[in-house]
Amino acid sequence: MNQYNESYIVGELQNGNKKAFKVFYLKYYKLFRSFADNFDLSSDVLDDVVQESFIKYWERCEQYESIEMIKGFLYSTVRNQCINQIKHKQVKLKHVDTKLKEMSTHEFFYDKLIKEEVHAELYEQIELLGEKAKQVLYLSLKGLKNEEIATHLEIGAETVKTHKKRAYKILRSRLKSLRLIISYLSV
Amino acid sequence: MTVLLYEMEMNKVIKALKLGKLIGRNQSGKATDKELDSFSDWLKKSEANQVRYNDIVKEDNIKNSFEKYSKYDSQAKWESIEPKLSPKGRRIQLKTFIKYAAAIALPLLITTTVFLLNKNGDNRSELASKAEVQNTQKETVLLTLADGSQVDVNNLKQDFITESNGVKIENRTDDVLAYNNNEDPIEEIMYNTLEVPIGGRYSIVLSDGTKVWLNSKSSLKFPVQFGRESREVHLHGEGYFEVAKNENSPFKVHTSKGLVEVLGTEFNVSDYYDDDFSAVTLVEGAVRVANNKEAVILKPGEQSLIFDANKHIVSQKVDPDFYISWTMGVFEFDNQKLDYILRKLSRWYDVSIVYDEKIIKELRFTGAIESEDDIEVILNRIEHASGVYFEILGSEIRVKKELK
Repeated sequence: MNQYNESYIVGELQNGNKKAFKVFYLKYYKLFRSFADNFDLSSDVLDDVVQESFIKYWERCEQYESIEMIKGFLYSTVRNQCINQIKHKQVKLKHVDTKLKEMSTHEFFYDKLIKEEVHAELYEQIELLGEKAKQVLYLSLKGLKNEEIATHLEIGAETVKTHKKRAYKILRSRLKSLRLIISYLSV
Repeated sequence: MTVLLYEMEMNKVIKALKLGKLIGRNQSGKATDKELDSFSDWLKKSEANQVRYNDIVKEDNIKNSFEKYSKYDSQAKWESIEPKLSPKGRRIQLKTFIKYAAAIALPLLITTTVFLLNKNGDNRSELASKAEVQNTQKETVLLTLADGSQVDVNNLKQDFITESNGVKIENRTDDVLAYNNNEDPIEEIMYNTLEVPIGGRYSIVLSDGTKVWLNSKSSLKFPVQFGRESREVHLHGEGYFEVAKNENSPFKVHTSKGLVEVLGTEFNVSDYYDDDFSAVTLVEGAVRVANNKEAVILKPGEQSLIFDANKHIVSQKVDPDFYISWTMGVFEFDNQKLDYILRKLSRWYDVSIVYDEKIIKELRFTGAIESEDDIEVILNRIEHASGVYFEILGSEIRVKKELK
């Protein structure tokens, strides 16, 4: 949604514009699906939970007038549905474990939410870097050395360095902003 | 046991998201001392906080998230959810929506960290003139088809455009056009031309998979389907190329002053008619740059400047970052002349620049400009740092050495 004006999209979402919803969905699907992964359920169930949550939002899209409210709604809907599913499963199995307790806390929710926001933000920046730069970054996150990456991708070691520099420059500045998000939440 | 998130909690979520966004935009360096202090206080407050922070910034965790993101298929999921969406009463016209979206993508540029290195100016906070610069960007991105008909791809409703020979061009949502490869041999090469207006940016995927980002005020002429022997395109203005590898078919970019020839690589070409030279900056691989006079081979991190089709080509070492950051909506400059910087700005905002004294053009600045600010904000920063003053008269910007 980078290229779009967010407030305009939100306005159009309030009007029930399906095209705007598509833009929104394509931008945020991965983020919420990945957030759902924090809960201990099969990926089929999680797929459904996320789709359900988006549908729920669409059904009441008139009510939300900012991107934060929409995301807030989706985060808590995904989370509440996951917790309910787990609870349901465990009641059936007649055992409730400590994991569920942990997953039900607010702290767990906020920790995962922030992590998702930050990682998705980083990912978005990385996506903009272009194919080779992305590959270089992923390989280096996997622990490969510059020379190994160069061999792997059949490019020069200098090129690897250039790509890495660009990628890390962005990651670093993004991580700086992350500190502030956390501090704000804790105040 | 389930703790639902009630209204108050929701406010907290929203607050967090809002601030995250704000900070994300403003970026480093803009955080106030108070904010930084409260962060370190928080970090020191408990070991648990330290653990939480480390958990987020841990490379392994970032890597995990990235792997997940690249695994999920948003498009496929959209297709499965779409039929389930209940229709909404009022259908907003698609046309208005995209048009506006396009207009927004335009003035992208410009804020934050202009660390201008010249002398410190005084701390005047107002521009010499506060007259408004009108955003007069055209909102149309024109695609000219082989038969000469024109399509405004920014205001296009359909997902596909069909060429006269049946080739389908995909109109992707996010300012991207994509040409698909057709296995059948082609009889004759048909050309399309894409024109990006002042302040615009657009990208295109050619039939061989090569990606091209086109900057403001630029155009690219390219075959709907490449022939077997070679891949040739014509560029005016600025483009960043990620060329798909094909050793049997060299990729050639024709510009007004010369030719760039490659096999598979990433590079930037800037060839604006109002610049004195066209510049080719290589990020990766190898390219051959040629004009009527000579040919040079570039290595990554090198840039060649062609001043004239019949003059020597000048090569120099550069940090490619500075020349490709525009693809991310950032304009970076490293010890560049004011003339160069303002010429760039005039291509993003439809303004013309007039100098009171020629000497001002030679002042050099280093900095980075990004995101969505008005041109006034940038000019203001330059004023602060240099003691140069700007007066805005309609769409003309007058550059003065001192305030009269």
